[in-house]
Amino acid sequence: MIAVTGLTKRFGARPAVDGVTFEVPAGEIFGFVGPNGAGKTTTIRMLATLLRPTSGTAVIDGIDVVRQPERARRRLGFMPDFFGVYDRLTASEYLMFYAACYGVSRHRRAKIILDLLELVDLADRRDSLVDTLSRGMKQRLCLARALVHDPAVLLLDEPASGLDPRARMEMRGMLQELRSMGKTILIASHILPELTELCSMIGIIDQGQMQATGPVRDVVRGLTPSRRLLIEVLDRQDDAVTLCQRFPSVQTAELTSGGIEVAFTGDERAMASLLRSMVSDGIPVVAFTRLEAGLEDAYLKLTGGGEDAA
Amino acid sequence: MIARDLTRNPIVEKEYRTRMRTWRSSCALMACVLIVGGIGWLIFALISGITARYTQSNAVNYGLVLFIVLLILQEAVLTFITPALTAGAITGERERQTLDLLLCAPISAVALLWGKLIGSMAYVLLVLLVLAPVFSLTLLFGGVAVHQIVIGLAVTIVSALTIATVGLFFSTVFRRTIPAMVLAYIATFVLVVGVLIGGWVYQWARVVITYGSNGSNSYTSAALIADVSPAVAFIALSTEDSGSSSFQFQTVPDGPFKGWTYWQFNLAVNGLLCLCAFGGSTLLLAPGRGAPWRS
Repeated sequence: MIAVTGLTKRFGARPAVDGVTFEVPAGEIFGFVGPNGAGKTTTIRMLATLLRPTSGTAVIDGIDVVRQPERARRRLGFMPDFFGVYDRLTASEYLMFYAACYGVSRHRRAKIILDLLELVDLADRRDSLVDTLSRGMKQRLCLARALVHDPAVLLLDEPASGLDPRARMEMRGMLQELRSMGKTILIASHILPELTELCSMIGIIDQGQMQATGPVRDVVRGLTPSRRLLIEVLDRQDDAVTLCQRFPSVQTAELTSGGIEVAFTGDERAMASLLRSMVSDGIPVVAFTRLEAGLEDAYLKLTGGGEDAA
Repeated sequence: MIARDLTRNPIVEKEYRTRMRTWRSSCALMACVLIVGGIGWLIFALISGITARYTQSNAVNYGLVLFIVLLILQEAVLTFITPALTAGAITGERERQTLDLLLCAPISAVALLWGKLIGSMAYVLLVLLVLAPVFSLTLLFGGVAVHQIVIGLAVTIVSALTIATVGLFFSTVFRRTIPAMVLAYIATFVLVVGVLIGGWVYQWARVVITYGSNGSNSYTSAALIADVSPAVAFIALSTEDSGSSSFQFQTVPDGPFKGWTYWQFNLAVNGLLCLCAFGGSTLLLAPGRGAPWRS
C-alpha cells in the first residue's frame, strides 16, 4: 500500500532524508520512530505531496506521489503534528469545508460528517465552535478531517502528542478501529510503549537513514539478541551478583532497586542452570523472571540512547 | 477542472462565514458609513454655507462636488480596508498552520487564491453597498449622469481589485502577516497616491529644467504614470461635460495611449496589474505546474 524506495531530500548540501526505503502492506499500522531531526516529518511531508523529493520514489495505493500528486492526495489523509483549525467555524462546518475541498458531493457530506463525528466521539459537540474544544477534542477533530474523503492511507505525525493519558487511550482505540476498517496507517511518534501495542510494523530512522524496518517483533528480536532477567533474592545480594557475573552466558549483572538485572545471552537450559547454581549456592531466590526486550531497547540500541527516547 | 474550482469554490464559502463572524467586520462597515456620510455631509454643509441662496444651478454644482468628493472618499476608505483583507490571506493560513492541510487537498493553487480574492472582494462590494444610500445623495441634486456614476464605480471596484491582488501577492511572498501587510500598504499608497505625485513632480521638473519656470506645461508620456491613479480618472470623469479649465484634457493627449479616456486607461492598467499580481501569487504558491510543491 505504501512503497518508498531510496527517498532522499536535501536542503542545500545537507540530506534531511537519505535513501529511505520501506514498505507497508495494506491494513497494517506502521510506527515510524526516531529522534528529533531524524527525518520523520520530512519523509511524511514528501508522502503527503507537500515536499518534492530530491530523488527516490514514493508510491501510495499504486500512485506515484511525485508524478501524480493530484491523484495521490485523494488516496491519503494527512494529520500533521499541529491542530490546524479555524476558530470561527463549528466542528461540523470545519469538516464540511474540508469535505468540499476534497470534492465530496454536497448530498453525501452531511451523512459522512455525522458518521465521522460519531467515530471520534464528538457528535454532541458538532455545533460547538472549534475554539471552544479541548486539545484532545481538537486532535480528534483533526483525525476526522483526515478521514472526510475516506482515504486508503493515513499519515499521522505525532497524533498523540500533548494529550493526557485518557485522550491517548481514546486515540489509540480510534486508530485500532480504523485499522479494523482496512485503513493503512503510518504513525510518526515518540511514544514508544504505545507504538509497541498499536503497530504491527516499525521503522526506526536516525540522521535521515532508515536503521531498521519490518514487523515489530522481528525488529526487536534482531536488535536485542540478549535476554534480560530479573532475579529477586531475600538477602546475600552481593554474592548473587558475583555468582551471576561469573556465569558464562551473563553479559552484565547489576543490583537495582527492583532486584538483580541480568543481560543474558544463553538459551533456556542455560537460564535453568543459572537458577540451579544460585539455589545450590544457598542464595534465597524468591523470583526469577525473564523480561521481554521492548521497542525502547531496540530504539536505544540503534539511536545510541538519544535524548528523545520516550 | 479549473472552471469547477473557480465556480464551486469551498474557500469562498468558508471566507464568508469566518469573515462575518467577528465584531470587527460590522464595526468596520459602520465606521465606513459614518466617515463617508459624515464628511460628505460636512462638505455639503460648507458649500451650502458659502453659497448664499439655493438655486437650480447651485444644486447642479452641489451634485458635482458631492460626486467627486464621495468618489474620492470611497476610494480612500477602500484603500485603507482592502490591503488588510488580503495581505493576511495566505500568511494567516500559514500562521494558523492550515495552509499545509489545504495544499495537500486536491484543490489547485489558483482555486485557493481565487477563493481568497473573491471572499475579500465580496466584503469590498458590501462596503460599496452600505455606502450606496450616501452616494445616492448626488442624484438628488442632479448634474451627474448615470454613466458617470457607473464608470466611477467601475474604476473604484477595479482599483480595489488591484489593491486586493497586490495584497494577495505579498501574502504569498512573506511567511508572516506583518511584513506582508506593511508592504501591501506601501504598494497601495504608491498605486493610488505615489504615482500621482511622482508623475506630476516629474512633469513639473521636466518643464522647469527645459523651459525655465515660465515654460510651456505640455503633456509628456512620462506624465502618463500619474494617470494610473484612480484620482485622475475621477477628476476627468467629474469634469466630463463641463469643459472645466481646472483639468486640461478628457483623453490622454500623447504617447501610446493617445485618445484613450482616463478611465479607460486606468481600467486597462489596473486590469493588467491584477493579472500580473494574481499570476505571480499562483507561481509563488505552486511553482511546479499546478502542484503545490514547496521546497
